[in-house]
Amino acid sequence: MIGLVTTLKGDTVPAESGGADDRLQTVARALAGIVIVGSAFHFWPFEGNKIWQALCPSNAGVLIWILISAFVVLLKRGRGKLVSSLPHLSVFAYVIINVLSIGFAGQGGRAINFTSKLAMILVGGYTLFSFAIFSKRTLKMVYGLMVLALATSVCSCLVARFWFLSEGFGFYGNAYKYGTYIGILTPICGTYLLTGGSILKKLAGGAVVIGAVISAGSLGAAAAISAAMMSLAIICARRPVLICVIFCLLFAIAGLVTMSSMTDTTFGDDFRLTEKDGINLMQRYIEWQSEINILGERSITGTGAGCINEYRSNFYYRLPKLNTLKAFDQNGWLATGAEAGISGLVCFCWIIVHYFKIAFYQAAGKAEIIQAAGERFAKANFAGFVGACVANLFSSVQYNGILIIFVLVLVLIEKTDCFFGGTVKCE
Amino acid sequence: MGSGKDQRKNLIEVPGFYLSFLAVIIACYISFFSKSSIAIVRPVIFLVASFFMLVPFKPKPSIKTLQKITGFYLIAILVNQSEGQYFQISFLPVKASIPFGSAILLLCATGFLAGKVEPGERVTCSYAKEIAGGWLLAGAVITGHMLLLWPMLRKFYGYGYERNWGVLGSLCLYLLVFIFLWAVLEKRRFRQGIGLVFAVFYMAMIFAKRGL
Repeated sequence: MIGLVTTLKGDTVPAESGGADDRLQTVARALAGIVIVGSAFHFWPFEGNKIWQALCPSNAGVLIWILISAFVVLLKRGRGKLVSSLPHLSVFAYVIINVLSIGFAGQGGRAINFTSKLAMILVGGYTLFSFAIFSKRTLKMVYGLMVLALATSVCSCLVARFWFLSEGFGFYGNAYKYGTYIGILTPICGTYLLTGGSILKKLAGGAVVIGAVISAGSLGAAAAISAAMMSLAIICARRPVLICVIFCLLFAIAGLVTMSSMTDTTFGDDFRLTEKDGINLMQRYIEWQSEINILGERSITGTGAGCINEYRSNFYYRLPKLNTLKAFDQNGWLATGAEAGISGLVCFCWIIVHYFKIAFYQAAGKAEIIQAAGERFAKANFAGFVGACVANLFSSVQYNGILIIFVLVLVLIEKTDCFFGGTVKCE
Repeated sequence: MGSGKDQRKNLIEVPGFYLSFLAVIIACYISFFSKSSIAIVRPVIFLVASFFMLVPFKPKPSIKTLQKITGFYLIAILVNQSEGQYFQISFLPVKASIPFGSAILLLCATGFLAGKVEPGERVTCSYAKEIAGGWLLAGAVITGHMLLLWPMLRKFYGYGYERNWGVLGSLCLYLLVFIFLWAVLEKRRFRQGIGLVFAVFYMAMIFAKRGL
């Protein structure tokens, strides 16, 4: 660990080349494919099984990669390149704060479980994707896989909602988790397809955006997709793109409003300030306030990583607890602060600031993008990143199954910068 | 034999170093002998973090920054623990109660101001700007949520906006702790010094079974 960390980003690492690297890249590419496509299936088909939740295809892929990486490090083959694919320092800082916060957690098992999953995905997942995307061709391939994962998720949800009414597949069981998942993927894939050359790709992009908003049926997903697409249209400053985005969003929201009256969605409920009884306040906002209240007393310590449910009730004070929302429908920003304290929130914000800066400079054309082909990826990444930040308000990007997609966005931002010129130095 | 300028610089930096160090020792003392406001359930984790501070890594900016963040976190815990505890000054004509947290902060602030060097000579951290951006964003996130929730919650029974002031106060307090200590944490000797203090403190805590 110390050996790995001493050569973090910013310190010069000589890259090794040869057969070992090629074999590792092939393995990484295969595992990345499983992880990305597998993310659409979430915990299907064993939703209730805790072991399966920890070792679902997307997590298992990362775990296998970590084991392979450990073996490679021990054998000292391709170690240099592996180390150079580690995430930015802010990610390590965030992991360290989470590890330290275990010292205050009431339930050690829960905190360790959460932190180990967080570290595994943030560091292991990052290294996996970083290693798998080694050329412009593989970068393009990853976007293709993301489109496949999104199409699988959206189609299955639409089919389940409007025809078969089966709730067992993918994220369908929880509208907020599903909203966060597609809230990140839709802007990336939508932008990638909409900015594509052929009319067929543009049509597919429009269909993906509209289908995702209609299938999500929650305010969080609609807000994340709308904010991401609008920010892209503004930053792009091109009239055809702006018209295209506005048309897609208007059509999608009109479809969502129409469909929500026909089927059972949370969209209408999300707009209400009060519960269905009309007297009590919506539970979501009570949760948000209780998370702020935690910061008052446990400012630095937090509740311990992953242990918010243990303390949250203590900080309602006189606010009523209604329990109408399911678990995990948290505000990712405030939950991070409540669990890891102010320092944890600052480190998480450091991650956001670092990658946002790169994504913004790329998308706004302020970075020296050498090839015009890079523009398409830069804009898609920026839209995805904005989508993740907005989706984090209605659910958490750190949730098991969604974090891997957030990490993928971070890697894509860095890799686009590497391949098309910009601010980050690439080995 | 250093030059006159170096000697002057060292003389200026000495109070900053020792005042901050003193603040850490006092904070440890207070936390050990008074009842902690928040239970430290697993002090072993902080003991390991203290050893991490002690290890003399090669001067890589990444590891140094991680050590600095760990150091800040460990000091901030002590400030958090001493919140709500006061010491009384009785020898003055008027009795005064001063919060321990403020006294620690005052020492750090004095150290920061006393140890200030010329802008050209100041050691700058390559990650400092981004971390400052992180503080700014964290503050904006918390304040933004408060502003959003206030009009929604104000008419509901049980909502106390006065708690928000406390949260904002805490945010400012730890930002100040961060500002005052970040520069002095740059020094390897300081990091190792407080690492040693924390190692002793948490070892004593484990043996005495305090803080639980």
